[in-house]
Amino acid sequence: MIFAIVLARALRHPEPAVIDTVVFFGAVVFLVATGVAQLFVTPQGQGAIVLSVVRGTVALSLPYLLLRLVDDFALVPLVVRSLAIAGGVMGIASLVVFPPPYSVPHVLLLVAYFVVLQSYNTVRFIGAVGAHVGVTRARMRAAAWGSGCLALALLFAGAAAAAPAWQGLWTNLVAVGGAGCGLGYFLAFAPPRSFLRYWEAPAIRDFLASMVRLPAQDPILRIEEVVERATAAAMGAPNVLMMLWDEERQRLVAPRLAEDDAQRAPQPELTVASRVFRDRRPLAVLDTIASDPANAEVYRRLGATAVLAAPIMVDSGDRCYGVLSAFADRASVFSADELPLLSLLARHLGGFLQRREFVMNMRDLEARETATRMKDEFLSAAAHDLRTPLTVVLGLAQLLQRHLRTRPEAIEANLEEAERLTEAAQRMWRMTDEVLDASRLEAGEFTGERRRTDLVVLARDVVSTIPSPRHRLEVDGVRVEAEVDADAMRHVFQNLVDNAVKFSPAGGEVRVALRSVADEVEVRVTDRGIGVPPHDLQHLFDRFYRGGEVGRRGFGGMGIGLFLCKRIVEEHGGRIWAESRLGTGSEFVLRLPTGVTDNGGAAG
Amino acid sequence: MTGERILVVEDEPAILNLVREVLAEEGYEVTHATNGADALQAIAVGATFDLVVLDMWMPVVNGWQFAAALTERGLRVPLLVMTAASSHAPAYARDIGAIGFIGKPFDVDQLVLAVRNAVEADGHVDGLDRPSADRGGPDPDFGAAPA
Repeated sequence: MIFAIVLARALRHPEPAVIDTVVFFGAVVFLVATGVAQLFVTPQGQGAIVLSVVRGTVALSLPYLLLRLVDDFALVPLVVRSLAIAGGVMGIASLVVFPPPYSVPHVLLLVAYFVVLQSYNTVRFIGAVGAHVGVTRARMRAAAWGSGCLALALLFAGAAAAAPAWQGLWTNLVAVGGAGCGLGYFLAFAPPRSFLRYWEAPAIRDFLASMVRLPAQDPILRIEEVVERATAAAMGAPNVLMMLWDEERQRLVAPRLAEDDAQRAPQPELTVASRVFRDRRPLAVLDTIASDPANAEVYRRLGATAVLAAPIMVDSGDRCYGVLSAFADRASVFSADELPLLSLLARHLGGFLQRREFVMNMRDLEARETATRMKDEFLSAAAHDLRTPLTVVLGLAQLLQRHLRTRPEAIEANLEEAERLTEAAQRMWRMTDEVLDASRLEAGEFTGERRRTDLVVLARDVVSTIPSPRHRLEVDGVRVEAEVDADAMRHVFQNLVDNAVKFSPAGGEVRVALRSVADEVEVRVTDRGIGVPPHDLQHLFDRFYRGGEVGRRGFGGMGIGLFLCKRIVEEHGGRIWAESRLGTGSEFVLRLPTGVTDNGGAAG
Repeated sequence: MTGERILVVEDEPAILNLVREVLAEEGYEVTHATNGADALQAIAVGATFDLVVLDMWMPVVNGWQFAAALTERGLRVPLLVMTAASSHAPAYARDIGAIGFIGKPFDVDQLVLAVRNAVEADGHVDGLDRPSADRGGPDPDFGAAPA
């Protein structure tokens, strides 16, 4: 029965490891069949001798055939292989030279050869148990059991020849050993579906557990790392590669290899993977070198002799996200059997990627909606703020018109009015520039280059532009330098000082103090103004927040201004906050790193 | 119609000057304040006004707070809301029980008209909506409300 199953599989996947399995079980089947036949037809004379020799030959070749199976998943040293062949040939020769009935020492010698070699196989299978995980591990264990039982059965058969007195006992023991061997090999080489599922369950459970813990919005590289590790653990494969279809480049791309993609071409896993992607069907290529000799060198370098690959897709729908492949430098005897497991994992992965796509689309949509809303709000705030200078321009123009009609002779007075009108229009011009600046900053266009700037000079510069004879403005500090976008930082200073002046009573003092603290610079803008109540303090830097006590919003006020300040400061890797007590004044503090933190300056 | 006393409360100096100039030319007696607190002070020192032209978004004491303070002190002065938030002007006016409103920017003629209407309508509204006795009536310390 095992033979029938492995033969069926061999016809589907004619790989070397599978063929070895077929030869081994073919030999077993021959022995069993001829043994059963002897119960009914006892060959006579020459025929009996020939049959006996042939059976002996086949039996003696069994441990060697099993050794070949071992060699398929773990390298067998050449010495061992040579000794096995030499022993086998000598044993078979001895059968021909000394025809039956065999002498006891002859039989014992043959048994010894068989048992030693079979013990070696058993030890290698036991060793393989430790080296594998999941299903392969369970099957290796079954194979080790089977091999051990076969060795014992032969040992008992040998004992029967040496001590024929206890013939009955030996026969029973041989039968038990044979049954154990049969069961072990059955589970190892042709396990029923239910057993496979039982063995696969923990691997699938672990895989699902790690996928469930993985947040969908994680970067794709992190997802790839987790997926590959989980798949490797479930499959017991040394290498796992997750490749995703890149719509733009029209090819499969492994996120983590995206960088050095070019120098890795031609990618062997890609050739298998692209076939899998095209056919939407899992594929096992257990000897890539034989199937694609042209790229043999690359396969060897990558350790990708055996490749299993499955399409990453969900059950419903024909969308294929990519290919999940597992590869190793030696195909395990069971490799082809692991394809369904890999397919299952790939389908779970497909479900995860589909969920991730939904989540990402949703976030994109939300981000776009927020951006649109912000733009609308910005536009209405800008329009609102432009009304003030516009009121002045329009009013003065109409007043002048009226005066030119009613008192055309008062040239001096009318001229003065025209000058005021010009001034008002210029103020409005400056303001529209500011609005444009603000909208540029708002759009995240921080194109300004960061340069080492003396912030004290910048602060003095800003303070000097504020025409406020009603206030005492003071800048305190000597040469406090940081790498900043001077234009953006001027915006911040201007805003803070404007606010301080605006909310200070006449004669109030506004102080800008700058100093270096370790690898940061600290700027404190202090006023003795009306202060900010605690419940407003925490919202001060929110967009369009208008403090109840403050009242007015706008670029010069407390609306967009502080929000933009925060954005600019954070863009520089710094922090900004306010300290205040109602009635005694406010202090706005900002801290900036002195130098460029990581990619700032070089990138510009 | 000249000689009425008008208090203009506006924090933006350029607009304040403009409004003062226009109203003065119309023959009104104009006083000004740059925020609600200063305006309350002006009323507190005993001045009486026929109309307050009131900006709403101001530092220190805004238009709402100013109106609330007037009510609290039992003072009854007609208010004309003047705001750049034009679309909200009617709502603001309702908020504080103002007699009228004007959005910014405005035509000078429009401003004059709004102020004239407010001043003329005042007597009428005042008669209908006099502060009740239980709210304390005019406080002698802060000067009488226009009767």
